[in-house]
Amino acid sequence: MFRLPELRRLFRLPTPRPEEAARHVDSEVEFHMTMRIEELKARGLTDAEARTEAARRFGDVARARSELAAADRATAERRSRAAWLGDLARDLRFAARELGRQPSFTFISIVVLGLGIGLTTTMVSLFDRLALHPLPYPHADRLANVQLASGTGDHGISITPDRVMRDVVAKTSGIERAWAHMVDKVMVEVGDTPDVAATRMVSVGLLDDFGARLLIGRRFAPDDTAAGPLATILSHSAWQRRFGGRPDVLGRTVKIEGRIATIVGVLQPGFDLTSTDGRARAEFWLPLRSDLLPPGQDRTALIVRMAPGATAAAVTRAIDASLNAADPASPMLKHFHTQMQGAEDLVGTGLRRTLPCSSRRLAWYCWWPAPTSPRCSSVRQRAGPRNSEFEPHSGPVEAGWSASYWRSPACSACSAPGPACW
Amino acid sequence: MAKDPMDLMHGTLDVLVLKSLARGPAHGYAVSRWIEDRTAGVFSVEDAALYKSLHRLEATAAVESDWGLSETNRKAKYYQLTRHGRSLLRAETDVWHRYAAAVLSVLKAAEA
Repeated sequence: MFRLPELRRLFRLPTPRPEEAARHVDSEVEFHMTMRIEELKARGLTDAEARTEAARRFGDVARARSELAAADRATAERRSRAAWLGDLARDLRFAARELGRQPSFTFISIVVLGLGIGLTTTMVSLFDRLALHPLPYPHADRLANVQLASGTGDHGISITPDRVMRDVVAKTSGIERAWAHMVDKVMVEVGDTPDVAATRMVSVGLLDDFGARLLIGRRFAPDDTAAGPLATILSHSAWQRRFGGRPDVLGRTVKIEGRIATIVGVLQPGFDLTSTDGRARAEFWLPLRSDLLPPGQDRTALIVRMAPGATAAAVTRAIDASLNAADPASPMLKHFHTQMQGAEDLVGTGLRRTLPCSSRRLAWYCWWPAPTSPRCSSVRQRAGPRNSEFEPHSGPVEAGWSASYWRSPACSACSAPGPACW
Repeated sequence: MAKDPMDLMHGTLDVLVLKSLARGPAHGYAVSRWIEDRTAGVFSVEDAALYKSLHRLEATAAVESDWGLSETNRKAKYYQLTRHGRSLLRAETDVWHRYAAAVLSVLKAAEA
């Protein structure tokens, strides 16, 4: 079916040998000179005279040699390229004819090749995400999500840091940089059309530090955090979908939760935080400003970059110590401790959403520890002096507490009226 | 001035080389001798220019070459017209005939 010699020709690259061209020119010129000298000697010239005359008649021998050799090399290269392409075309025609003669074989080959390539590509990109490039940001191996947590594993409860904790963390040794960010769904009006859109509020330096490129416009500046005109940066998809990709979008205004915001930039396609599938979810990016947060609430997610060489365990202990020093009487700190999730965890959360992990039997596949016991855990919430306070708890909502949340969906308490579940 | 050999007009040499090869395969030295003999020294052909012409014609596939043995039993590169070379020679010869006829008619008219 396959004729190997014909296939082999595909791999034989055109290789005209330059030294060969020069050698051929040399022997051609040498033959000419010999003949000319003999002719001149036959006419009665001495050997020396004949040589001089032959050289005079030839012209610049050295220059002619190099010019002829160069021209021959170019010709040889052009010819062998043409021959190679001709061979390739013939081989392709031959292959097409042979495949056309055996449609079933051709069909099976294409299906098998397609499946193989698809599977390999998937495995390679999974491996790339998990092992090689967990997160597409600079120093991703030193990035971590910082939060307060009570309990561990599936029964754990976590709370995002408030402003005081963010300030403490940013000053802790072993932390190089810290950025707050918060995702929200809000009402956005473009022109007169209201719509719900995802926004992401970020610390001013975050876009720079996470290597986000802007297609047009500028990043957030320190001025943008002050009370005053509100600036927003569009994701690429929001720019395409809501503004038709128009380049004059800079300077236009939109209403975000009733506030007028001026568009100052457009992000590169696909950029988002902890987005591992290349799809950006947040459409409107906003600078982190206290007047944008819900009243009486300043909790936001916190991402840190650890200093080179710092370990998560040591940094966690340091943050806990600083928090206790800052507010020794805090009731929260009795139950909650600092928890850091590294890049692997951040990727894990993104990946778990994309893999079929609904069945706990697939836990080994999803790197998800199986529950060790059917014990329920819950937390109750009430308004504190600065922010909502949380506390581990079991049972119904009690006086003074606004809500109780149950953690495990498998827990029967979840189906009981009263406490909310998540 | 009139006794000095004329410099060959650019492009003319190619036609002469093609014509010399019309008789059959020949090496560069034979082509050179043939042109010298035919033009009786009117044209001065530098050998370097002649070889450049041969290689130029080979690049455009008007002639092809192969190594052979000369009359004196030496290794020599022989050139031979291709089909393309023959039709090129015919076309160029026509052009020369028309050109020469036109120039002659002008010169004769001027004499009269």
